[in-house]
Amino acid sequence: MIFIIGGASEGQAEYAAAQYPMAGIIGAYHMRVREQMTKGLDPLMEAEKLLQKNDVGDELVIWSCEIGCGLVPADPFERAWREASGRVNCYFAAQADRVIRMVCGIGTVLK
Amino acid sequence: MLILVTGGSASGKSAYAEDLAVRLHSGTGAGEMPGEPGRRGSLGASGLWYAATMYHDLSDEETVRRIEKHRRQRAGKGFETLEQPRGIGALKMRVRPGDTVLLEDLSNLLANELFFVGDEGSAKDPYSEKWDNETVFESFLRERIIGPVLKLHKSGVRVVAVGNRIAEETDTSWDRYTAAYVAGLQKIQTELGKAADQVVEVVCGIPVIAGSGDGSEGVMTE
Repeated sequence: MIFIIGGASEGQAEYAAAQYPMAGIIGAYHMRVREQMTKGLDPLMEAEKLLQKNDVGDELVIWSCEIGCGLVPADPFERAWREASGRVNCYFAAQADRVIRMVCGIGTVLK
Repeated sequence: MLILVTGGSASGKSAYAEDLAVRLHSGTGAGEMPGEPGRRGSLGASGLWYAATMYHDLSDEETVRRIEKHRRQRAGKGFETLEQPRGIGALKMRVRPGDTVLLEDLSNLLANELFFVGDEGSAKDPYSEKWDNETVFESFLRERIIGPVLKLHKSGVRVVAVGNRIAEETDTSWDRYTAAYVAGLQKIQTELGKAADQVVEVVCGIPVIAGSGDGSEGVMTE
C-alpha cells in the first residue's frame, strides 16, 4: 500500500493519479474517518479492516489530509476527529510500503 | 544537548520523543555512574526525567484521559515524572548535568504560563504589560520558557523538548490572546530550533529531520 499525506490541496490527488495510474486510489481518507465517527464506528478498526480486505495483491493508494496542524478546536467532535484522523494516518504510514508527503505539489518520500 | 521534536496533533511525536530520550540516555550509562553516593535508590536515581506540563483538572474527562494515555504510553520506559505545568526554571533544582529531560510539551506550558489564573493573583506581575507591549511579551517568553530550556541545555543536561504545529489554520481571525499565544509558541519554537542540535518533525509517526531536505529518517545517537 502507498500512503500519501499532506495539508489540504497540496497535490495528493494529482500525484496519486500521475504516479500510480494503475492502482486503486482511495482519496480524502480524513473525510471517511469523519463519516465513520458520525456512524459511531471506530476509525482505527475500520482502517484495519480496509487493509485486510485489500490484501489481495492489487496496488492500493490511500491519500489523506493532515488536519492536526492548527489550534485545538473548541468543538469536542472536531477535536476527536483530528485525533482519530492522526492516529489512522500513523497506522497507514506504519503499514505502508511507501509514504509520501506532499508540500506545494512536491512529493517527498518519507518511507 | 537540545533536540526539538515537533509535529501536528496525533502525529506520533510523543512516542517518538519518549523513545529518543530513552535512547539518548541509555547510550550514556547515566544513573550507573559511581562516585555519586546517595544518588542511586533515591528519587532521580536514573537521571531520566519526564517533565509533565498538563494541569490535572480532574473535572475534565478529556484531560484525565489524555494524561492517562500518556502515562500508559511511557510506562516501563524508566521515566521519573516531574509535574511542572509552569515555572520550568525550577527544573534545574532537580536535574543534574548528564541527566536527560523530556519536556512535554511547549504548547501546554505556554498556555499555562499565559492563561493560568492561580494562587499568586496578579500582584507584582512583572509582565502585566505583556498583552499590550510586544517587548514585554518577548521578555516574558524568554524569562519563563526559552531561557530556562536553554539554561538546562547549556548546563550539560540532555533536553528533548516537544513542540506542536498549531499555526496552519483556515481561520486566523483570532482574538488578541489567541493571536499572542500562536505568535508566542512560534517564537519559542523558532528560538529553540535555532539553538537546538537537531529539530525533528514527526509526520504520521515518521521522523523527518528539519533542514536535511532529503526527507531521510533521522536517528540521533550520541
